[in-house]
Amino acid sequence: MIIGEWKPIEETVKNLATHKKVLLVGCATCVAECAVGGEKEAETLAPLLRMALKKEGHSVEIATKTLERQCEWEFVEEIADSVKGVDAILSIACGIGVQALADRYQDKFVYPGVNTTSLAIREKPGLWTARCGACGDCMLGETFGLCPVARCAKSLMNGPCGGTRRTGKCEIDENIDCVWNLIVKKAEERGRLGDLETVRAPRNWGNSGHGGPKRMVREDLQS
Amino acid sequence: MSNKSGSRLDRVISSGQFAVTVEVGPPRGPDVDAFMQKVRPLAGIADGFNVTDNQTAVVRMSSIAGAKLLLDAGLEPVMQMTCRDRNRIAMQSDLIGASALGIRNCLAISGDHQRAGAGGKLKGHPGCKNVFDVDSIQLVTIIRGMRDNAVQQGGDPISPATPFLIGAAWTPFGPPEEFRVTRLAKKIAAGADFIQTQAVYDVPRFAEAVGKARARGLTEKTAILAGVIVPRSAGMLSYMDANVPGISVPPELIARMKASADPKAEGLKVAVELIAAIRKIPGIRGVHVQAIEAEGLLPDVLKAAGLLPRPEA
Amino acid sequence: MHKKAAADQGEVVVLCCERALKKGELGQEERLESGNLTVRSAIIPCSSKVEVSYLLRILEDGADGVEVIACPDGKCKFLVGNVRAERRVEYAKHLLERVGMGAGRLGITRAEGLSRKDVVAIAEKRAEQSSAFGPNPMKEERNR
Repeated sequence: MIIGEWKPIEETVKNLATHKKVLLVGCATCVAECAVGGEKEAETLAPLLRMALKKEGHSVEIATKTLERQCEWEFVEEIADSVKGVDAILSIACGIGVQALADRYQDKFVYPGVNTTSLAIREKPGLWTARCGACGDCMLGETFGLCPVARCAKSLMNGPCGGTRRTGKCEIDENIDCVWNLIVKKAEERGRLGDLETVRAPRNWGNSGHGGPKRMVREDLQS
Repeated sequence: MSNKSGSRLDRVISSGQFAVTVEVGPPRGPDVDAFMQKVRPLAGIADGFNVTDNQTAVVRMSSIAGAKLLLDAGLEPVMQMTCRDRNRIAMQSDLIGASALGIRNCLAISGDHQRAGAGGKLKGHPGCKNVFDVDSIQLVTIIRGMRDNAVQQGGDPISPATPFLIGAAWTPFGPPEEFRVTRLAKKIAAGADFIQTQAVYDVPRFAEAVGKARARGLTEKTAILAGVIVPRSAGMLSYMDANVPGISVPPELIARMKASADPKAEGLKVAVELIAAIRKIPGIRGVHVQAIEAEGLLPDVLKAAGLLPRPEA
Repeated sequence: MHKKAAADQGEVVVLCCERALKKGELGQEERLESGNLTVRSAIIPCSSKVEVSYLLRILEDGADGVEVIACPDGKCKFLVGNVRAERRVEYAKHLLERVGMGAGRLGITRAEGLSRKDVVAIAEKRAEQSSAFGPNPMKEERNR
C-alpha cells in the first residue's frame, strides 16, 4: 500500500486559516490501511483541526466525507454536491488522491493533509516498512524476494557495503535490517550463494521516475 | 598487474615492494594555503596520498581539486569517488577531468549515507537527495572500461583512454561475514588493482580474513593495503568500536590506552606495532595509514615503523 | 447528551463501562449537577467502544473535560478492551497536547463497583485538571 503521515498540524492549520468552510476527504484504501487517512482518521482530524483553528482565533466549519478510493474518478464524483458549498478541500489521501480532487474540483483550493512517503507493507500492527521502490526493473527473482532498491539505503546491487552493524542492521538506522545480509542468508539457505558472485552491471533506471513522469498507455483498453 | 596508469603507486606495487598510502582530508573551504601547509610536510612519506570525497557526507573541497593541489606540490594523489553524490555521467566526466589534470589513482567507494552527517556536530545535508546511480563495484567496472577500452559505460567512446590505477575498499568484518571475501572477489573481478581496508585493530581476526582471501587466490590478483588509524585516546577507540561498522577493537587495546599516562604517545606506539604485525600477514602488500584531523603525526609513525624513506620508483 | 449548559458552567462528560458500575447506579444517559459543574454521563458496553474521534468530538462540542471509566486490569469482559481504551486515551491526549488544547482535559480511570457519588467525584477531579487550561474555547462555536 501507499503510506504516509499526517502533515504537522501547524502546517494544515495555516492552510485552512483563511477559509470558512472546508470539506475533509478521507480515503478507505491505502491510507486507511496505514491508519492515516481513512474514515476513522477523518473523524479524528476534523474535530482536532477545528479546535486547533479556534485556538488561533479562526472559526472554520469542517465537514467530512470518505471515499472508497480517491484515485478513481467514479468515487471522486460522489462528493460533487458536498463540494459545492465549501471553499476548500483538505484531502488526507495520498498525493494521487489530492491531485484527483484538485483535477475534478478546479475552482476549489485543495490541500494535502498527509505527506505521502512510501510503498510499504504492514509488517505487524503498528509497523509499516518500505518494500518497493517503483524502479521499473524488478529484480526480486534474483534476490530471493528481498528488494535492494527499496530496502538498501544505498540501493547497492552487488552485496552489502561496509556499513552493516554487528547486529545485522543498517548503518543509518539500528531498526532497519541490512537487506543484503538477509539476501546472502537466504542464498545460503537455498544453496545459491554462487548467484551472488556475478558482478551486476549498472542498472537502467529509465523505466522509473528517473526516466521522466511515467505515462502508461494501453490502446486495447481505450474507449 | 603491470603499470597501467603511470602512477608511482602502480610502480611500487608492481615492483613487489611494500606500499604505503596515507589519507589527507581536504579543507571545508577554498583555503589553499592552510591545505598546503598541512600537506607539504608530508612530502615523500607515502607512495600515494588519498584525498577524501565529502567523507561522512560533509561538504569539503572536492577530492579532484585537492588531488590536483597535491600533484602540483609533488605529492602523488589518490582521488576518491563515492557513489552517493554523482550519477554515472558526472562520474565519467569527473574521471576524464581528473585524468586531464594528471591524476592517476582513483579509489571507488560506496560513500557514507547523508544521514551520517559528521556524527551530529555539524548540520550537514541530511535532507538532500542522494544518487547511488551505480554502486562501488559498478564504478570500478566503469573506470576499467574507460581505461582498457576507451569506452563510456553507455557505449560511447572516449579519446584517449583514461589511465587509472583502480582502488576499492574492503571491510572484512560485519555480517554477513563469510560473504565479505566474496565481495572482495567481486571487486577484483570488476577490476580493482588495489584495495584499502577498513582500519585494523584486531590483527589475528584480520589475518584470518586475509587467509581466506589468499585461499581464493585473491591476494595475487590485487594489492591489499591494510588500513591503520592512529589512535589518540581510549575514548576514540571505544567510540570507533561501538559506532563504526567493521571496526573491531580488542578490549586489551582500549585498556592499554586508558592506562597510559601519555595516550597520544601510546597511540603512536600502537600504530607502529599494528603496522609491524600487519606486515607479517602473507598476502598483505602495504598499509594505508590515517591520522584523522592529525595528519602531522604521519611522518613520525611511518618513520618509527621503518617505512621511510620510500623506495625509488 | 447534548443539553447545552450555561457558558460559565464547567462541563465534564463521563463515558463509563457498564461493568465498572454497581448495578442500576446510573441510567443510560444522565445529567448530574455538582455545584457549578455539569456532569453528563453515558454508559457503554465496554470502554473499548470509545474511539479517539469520539473523545475529540466531545471536546469539539464544548465539554471542558472527558473521563473514560474502564475496568481494572484482568477484569475486562472482552479481555483487553480496557487496555485498548487506555492506549486510545493516551493517543487522544497526545493530539490535544499538539494543538495546545491541554492533555489534562482527558483521562481514564480504572475501577469497579462504582456508585453514582463515585462517578461525580471522578468527574470533579477531571474538571479540576481541565481548569488549568481554562474554559473550552469551543463553547463559543455552539451557537454557529
